[in-house]
Amino acid sequence: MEIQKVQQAELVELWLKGRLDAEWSEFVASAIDEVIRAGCHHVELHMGSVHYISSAGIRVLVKHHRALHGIRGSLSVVSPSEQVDGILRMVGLANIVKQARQAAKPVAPAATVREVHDGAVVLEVQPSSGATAMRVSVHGAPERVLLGGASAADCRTLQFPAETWGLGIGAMGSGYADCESRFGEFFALGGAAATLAPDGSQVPDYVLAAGSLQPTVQALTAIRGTGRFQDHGRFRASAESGGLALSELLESFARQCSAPTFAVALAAETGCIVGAQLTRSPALLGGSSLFEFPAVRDRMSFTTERGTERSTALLCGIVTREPSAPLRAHVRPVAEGSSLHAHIHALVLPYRPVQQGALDLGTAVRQFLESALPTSLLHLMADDRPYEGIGQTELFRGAYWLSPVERIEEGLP
Amino acid sequence: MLELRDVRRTFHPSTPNEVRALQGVSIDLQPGSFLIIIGTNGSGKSTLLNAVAGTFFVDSGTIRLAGHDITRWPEHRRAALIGRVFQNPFSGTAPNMTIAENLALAARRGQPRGFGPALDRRVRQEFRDRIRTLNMGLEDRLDNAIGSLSGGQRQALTLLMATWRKPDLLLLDEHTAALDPKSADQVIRLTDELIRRDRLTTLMVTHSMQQAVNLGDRIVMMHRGQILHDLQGPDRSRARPEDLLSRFEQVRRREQMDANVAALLQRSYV
Ligand SMILES: Nc1ncnc2c1ncn2[C@@H]1O[C@H](COP(=O)(O)OP(=O)(O)OP(=O)(O)O)[C@@H](O)[C@H]1O
Ligand SMILES: [Mg+2]
Repeated sequence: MEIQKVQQAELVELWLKGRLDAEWSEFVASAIDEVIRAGCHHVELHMGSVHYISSAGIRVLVKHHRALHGIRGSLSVVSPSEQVDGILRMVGLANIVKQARQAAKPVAPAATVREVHDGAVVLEVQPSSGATAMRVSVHGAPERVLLGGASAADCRTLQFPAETWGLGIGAMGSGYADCESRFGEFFALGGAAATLAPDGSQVPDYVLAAGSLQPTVQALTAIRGTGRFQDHGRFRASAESGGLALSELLESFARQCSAPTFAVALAAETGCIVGAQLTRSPALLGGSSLFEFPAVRDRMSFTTERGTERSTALLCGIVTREPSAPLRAHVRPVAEGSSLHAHIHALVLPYRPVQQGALDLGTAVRQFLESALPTSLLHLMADDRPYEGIGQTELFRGAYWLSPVERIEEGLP
Repeated sequence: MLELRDVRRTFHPSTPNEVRALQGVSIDLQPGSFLIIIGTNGSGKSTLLNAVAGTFFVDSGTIRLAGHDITRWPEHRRAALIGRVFQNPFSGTAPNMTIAENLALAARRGQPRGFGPALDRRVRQEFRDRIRTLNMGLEDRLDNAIGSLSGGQRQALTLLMATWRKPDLLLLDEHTAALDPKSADQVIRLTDELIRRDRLTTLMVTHSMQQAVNLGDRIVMMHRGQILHDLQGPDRSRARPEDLLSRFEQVRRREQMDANVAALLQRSYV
């Protein structure tokens, strides 16, 4: 089997030559995967020179057709040989066969989509949703909790229905006593809330809003945003193969956003994710500081090497140029040399391409969580240690949602 | 069946080469329980098995087996209760002796000198029957020297010998690690069969996460001479190889967390 790849404006053509049988099906499958991972969701398989296809080959077509269809992409077989055409019709796949001239061209982005080139970042900006600035409240006293521990008085019950987001340290349960040993990072976005118990299990638990069920988190510290996001679009790195450092992307958003403080959510295809997690509930600190060395080894876990694995992550948080009270206690510098402060959590899932075009946040979150179990939940930070530092979280492309934040309230205990 | 209480052992104490190989290990093993021990290199797995077998005396703590306090028993006395297979296929058998002679030694083990079966026709028939269950075609080679067998065949024989008299405790230390994949698979299969058949109380060390989840009813993960995780019951049932690997990854991260990382976390975590 030979495969030639031809990059067209909005699609990739794969010209196949040879037999598409069990021996070669994985080869073809990985060629298609590679195209999808590079960010293209429209694939044409030109099969005029393929004279045999077995069930193993058909399986690849069906699997990728489904996967791409599920993210509003497409896979078609173009001008197949008589033999292949006959077989595809027999097995009921005539619908994916196209003749060369009438091959489906994906719709060009609507004229209202604006493309912004900003250094290493390219944004495809969708029309604004017209939503007003977002309301944000902060809860708890992070310094006191992290430097000494918490008590029942620090715990508040927060709900995260659709059109809210949140992050902080929390757990799901009936109250402080029930959650005392389980407090860890939490993440809430688009009608879902997830928590990671600090027991080393690395299996985030989550609740999706359904009917009258509202995701509810018992939180020791939290930031919570309410309202629809104003701006939405896609982002990608301008360099063909490169990724973006988280701070690069946030700086670019800051330039897009009129307000000094903004809320951000991302559904992103990611490379290495750099961040930290609690491995022991801060409620059990008993007066000592979380960061005390060497005790911190049993209390926190930190990415200390750059992985190469690709994932998909949901991110949410708040970014500000002017960290003032009461937000100040809840944000930290994004990276060395950046003027931004932020607090961002990420819920990590197995790799899955992020659909192109306009995307509804709640639908996207639901689709991700229904397709696979999350594999991790982290507080994102940059590792800027001079020698061993591994840098920042790397993002390739995805969807973003932004909203200016006007006022930040101190949540009532 | 086996009860370890706060067992400690330090090699070369108070010298630059001091190694605290066991730092307070306690384990209770019910009769018929099959415990898999995993852990990073040098975490103390082999030392733990050696401590139980009596290769050396522990510095402190107690070891009880089958109702006896064996803490101060010498190795040869414990051998009456314990069967053992090492990683090296050449260590469990006498290479110049024949298969039959080796088996006779195993069958006689723990019995007063001079007792036990002599190599008469009836005994040879029993050896042949048992060896046939290995499905390795060794039943017709009773008089061949052990040295002429492959690593996998030797390890299978060693296992058969170690379990011949249904020991109160079976110790397996990476006993398939030196074998090619196919032989390793055969020996693991045999291990599982023998342990199940005789409900042998077993401690098995392995580096294979797949073996750890496919065999046994309990998994202990050791690190720096201590038990870091002890998975039993439902926790054990749902453990997958990737979960165990993720626990190793956590250990590795923990090791890399130094004072600089602690300072970084204090600056960046909220
Ligand atoms: N007889 C000995 N004398 C000195 N040091 C020893 C002795 N036996 C073991 N050690 C040391 O004790 C530590 C634990 O060794 P042990 O062999 O128990 O590790 P292990 O978990 O079995 O590792 P591996 O996976 O490599 O087999 C190591 O640092 C080892 O060098
Ligand atoms: Mg060892």
